[in-house]
Amino acid sequence: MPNSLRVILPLLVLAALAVVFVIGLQGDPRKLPSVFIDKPAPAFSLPDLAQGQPVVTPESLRGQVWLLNVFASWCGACVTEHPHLLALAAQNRVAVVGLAYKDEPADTQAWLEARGNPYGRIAVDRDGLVGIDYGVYGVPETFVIDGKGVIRYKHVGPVDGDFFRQHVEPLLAAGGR
Amino acid sequence: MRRSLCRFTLAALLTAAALAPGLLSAEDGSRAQTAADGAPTSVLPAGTDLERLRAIAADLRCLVCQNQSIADSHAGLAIDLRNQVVKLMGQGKTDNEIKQYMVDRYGEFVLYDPPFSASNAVLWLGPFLLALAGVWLARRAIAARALAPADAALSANEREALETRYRKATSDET
Repeated sequence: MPNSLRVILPLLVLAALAVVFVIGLQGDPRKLPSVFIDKPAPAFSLPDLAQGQPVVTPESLRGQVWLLNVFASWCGACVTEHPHLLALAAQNRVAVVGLAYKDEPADTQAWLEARGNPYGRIAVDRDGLVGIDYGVYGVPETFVIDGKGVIRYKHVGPVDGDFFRQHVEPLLAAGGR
Repeated sequence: MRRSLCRFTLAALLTAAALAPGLLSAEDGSRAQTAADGAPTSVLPAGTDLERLRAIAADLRCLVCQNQSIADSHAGLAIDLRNQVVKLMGQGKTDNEIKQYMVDRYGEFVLYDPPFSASNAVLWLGPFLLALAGVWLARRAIAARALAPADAALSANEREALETRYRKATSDET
């Protein structure tokens, strides 16, 4: 091995390691890959926040693209994403279903009255058991579910306009398949 | 923000534990878990195998406070998941079935001791492969050094050339 290589090689190895570490530091360790992508949305049957409505089930939403947005009145980041959800609802292109996660119905109601209600339906998951079935570990989380009831994407954290352009519009363009 | 909430909860609990030893002994008797900050409270059904619950919970990661197991964490989700473990135990599920229940929902990430699989083979085998590579490199270096004395012997021509230069150098000095 020539002497120059002997000097340069360790430096090259170090540089390669530095690149690997820098890449490793980029990701957010709190964002976990969801095990639900391309799997059927788990079944549930929950009361609607509005009195006198039938129970909310994934089956009742078959045949259309819909979003399941996990939120709560105690969730700070939900306030951040709320205007984006309202804008989305105003376009009326996709059904937005809320999952009120571990929240008092009265608190949910007050929170929505103060900020506006982007949800077509709101399922009340008071004890968070449906949240567990959906692998929810932080609020807000948003699931994109296609017309066949298959989860196509899961977004952890507040959604914004990019989320809709990147993960919902292509699905709508493909007719929900 | 969540993380600081976890830390706050933990600090509150430690303070409560330090201030109220009587409360802790009472907890033993009633088999109730009480979180200091009014977080969900769970009462274990009579006859729950606490040892087994602890063993399973210690192997499951709290997804909100990622460096704690759900046995150690007092985050709301950790308490909910512990309650699920208790429920599944009550349904007669085996340890592996309970862990699979969690993996089905949160991925292998929830396991502190994930099973060997193709996707994590590099992590399991990498250190051993690196150690083997090190041994191989070290043996090669040692073998190279052992050969060195043989190389050091000079040919007749080299020896003569050196002696000539040496003689020339010493004669120049005088």
